[in-house]
Amino acid sequence: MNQLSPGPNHSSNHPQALNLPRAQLAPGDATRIAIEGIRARPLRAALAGLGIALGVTALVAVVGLSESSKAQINQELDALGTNLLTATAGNSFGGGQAQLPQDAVAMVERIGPVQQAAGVGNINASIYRNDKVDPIKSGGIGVNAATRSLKDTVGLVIADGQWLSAITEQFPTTVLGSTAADRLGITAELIRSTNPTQVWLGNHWFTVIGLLEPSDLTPELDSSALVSWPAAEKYLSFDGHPTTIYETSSDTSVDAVRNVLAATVSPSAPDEVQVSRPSDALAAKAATDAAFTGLLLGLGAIALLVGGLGVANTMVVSVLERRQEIGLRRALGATRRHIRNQFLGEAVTLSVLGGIAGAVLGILVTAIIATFNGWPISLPIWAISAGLGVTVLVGIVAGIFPASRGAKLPPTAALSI
Amino acid sequence: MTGTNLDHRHLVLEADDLTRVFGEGGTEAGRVVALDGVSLTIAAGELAALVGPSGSGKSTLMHVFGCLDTPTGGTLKINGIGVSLLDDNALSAVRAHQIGFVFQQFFLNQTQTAIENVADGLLYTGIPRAERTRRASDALQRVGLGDRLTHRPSELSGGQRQRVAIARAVVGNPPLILADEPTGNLDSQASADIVALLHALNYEGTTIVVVTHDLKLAALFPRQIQMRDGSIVADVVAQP
Ligand SMILES: Nc1ncnc2c1ncn2[C@@H]1O[C@H](COP(=O)(O)OP(=O)(O)OP(=O)(O)O)[C@@H](O)[C@H]1O
Ligand SMILES: [Mg+2]
Repeated sequence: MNQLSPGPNHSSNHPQALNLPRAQLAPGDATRIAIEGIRARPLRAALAGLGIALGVTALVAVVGLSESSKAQINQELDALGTNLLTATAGNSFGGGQAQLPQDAVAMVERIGPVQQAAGVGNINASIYRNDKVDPIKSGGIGVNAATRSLKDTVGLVIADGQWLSAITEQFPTTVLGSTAADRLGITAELIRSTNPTQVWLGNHWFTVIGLLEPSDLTPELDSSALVSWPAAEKYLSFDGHPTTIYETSSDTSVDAVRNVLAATVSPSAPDEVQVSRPSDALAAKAATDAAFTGLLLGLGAIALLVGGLGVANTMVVSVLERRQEIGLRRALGATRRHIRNQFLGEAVTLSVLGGIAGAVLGILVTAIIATFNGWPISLPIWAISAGLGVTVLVGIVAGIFPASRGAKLPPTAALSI
Repeated sequence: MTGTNLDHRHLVLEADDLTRVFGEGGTEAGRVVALDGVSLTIAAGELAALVGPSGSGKSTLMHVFGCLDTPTGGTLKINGIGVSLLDDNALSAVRAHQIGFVFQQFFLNQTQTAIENVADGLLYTGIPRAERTRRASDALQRVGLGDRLTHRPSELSGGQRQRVAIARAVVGNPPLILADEPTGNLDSQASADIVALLHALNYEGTTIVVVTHDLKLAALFPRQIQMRDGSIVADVVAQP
């Protein structure tokens, strides 16, 4: 024994104590004691950790799902591109739909960075499956003149049949958006059959030559019947004034084009022109989820709070039950700090174990729901580390009060039963 | 019969006029003088019994000696260290390094094996775990439980449990062992075994103070310190 060998100075300010070896506990031993304290009461630990686990599951899954759906939308945007701009004639001062100049498309094509431009002109005409149908029955389908460049500019995809061509545009032909085709009851089979499918459009029979796939960026075209520019002028007395211009440019020059688009399209009344970027609406979908995400995060935080109370309650009971153990440890040389750290360590371990279980569950939930929806799985590592970091904090807050109470017990009181 | 022929030896315990009053500052009726001026020395190598009727202050004195409780007055030195003025951390250090405790209720950790329980006697000393385990094995050999190292308390008899607790007290070879009613929960045969073990350990050089209310048991020890109402009323050393 080396009771009186000079040891390192310790916290006592009494000279007699300067030569005393300290009471000390290796960090490894402290960790082992905390874990054993939990292992001795596994059911209680599981129940105490449950609330924390659910809270962390919610936090991780909410972030994971919101990130995964965002990744999905970003993937869509990547595929669709974000370089499409539209310029629409707004309402004129006198009220009523304003018109764009007839040469608006050509003017836009002349803007340096513009790659493609197309025009669509609103026509005041109705379309029916045949000439006997009650006019009211197939309302809601807009008839529009479209330049041939519309398909490539917007990225329209032909589902069946064909797009307007130099030959077909001389005849009364039309291409239907997906919703318009549905409403008229025109199916892919009808288009593929050898008999031409005709619709009663503006008091003329028009042949349907193609059907379009739904378009994410230009949903307004889904419910319209597109007629070529010359045919519209010839059969529907279209005046040749476009109402919407579509254009694409390189990604880097979108802003530059945006700045000059209104003035180019309508030099005389640029204020009446509304310029918008259809991909913005799609991107906004990712952002509108934010409120919902916030709500779920709040619920997760409440679950964590309840879980923290569960841990605190468990630790209070534990300290009361284990007075003898505290007394024995004090007799063996444990300081108040050792006792406090032991119970604090148990609380944090309990909380973090719950957190790990919750993180695993949260990852699983994210993976399952994302896979189910066909989203790419995206779970930022910060969400998991934040989740676990929060559990450490919860464990400390939940454990500090009971642990301090245990540490303050006088050894004699702790030993007497 | 204070002042013995052991006086020239190293003193592991020097108590001078120790008092311990409970409930001071409260009502006069709630005030209990548990120790009323106890002066006493224990020399290295002694085996002493502290005997007295219930309520005479034996446990209180034991707690004060063991630095688990602080006296209201008087001074105390353990192994030459004046402990009366030490702060809580320093008292913990004294307990970790200078004193081994044996309790009536054993206070063993039920989820740990015998050797783990004994090794915990060194838990707060800074000795590495492997060395603690090695010394625990030695200590269990010393108390005759070399073949029960990995048994849990529930798999041991009462006498064997108290042996484990005694091994835990002696594992660090502290200068002073304090045992409060170590045979209080044991039958007569197991009690006799424990008394024999304490004698054997003392023969090897361990200093032991045993608290008991049983005069017959106390008579088995070489020195008997008798207490009554918080004071020492007799201190008898049997002549060898
Ligand atoms: N924490 C306390 N508060 C108030 N009084 C106490 C306290 N501890 C002990 N006492 C009183 O001090 C006196 C001595 O008690 P102590 O436990 O030391 O006696 P003892 O000799 O060990 O008795 P026993 O043989 O029954 O164990 C008793 O009158 C007891 O009531
Ligand atoms: Mg007692």
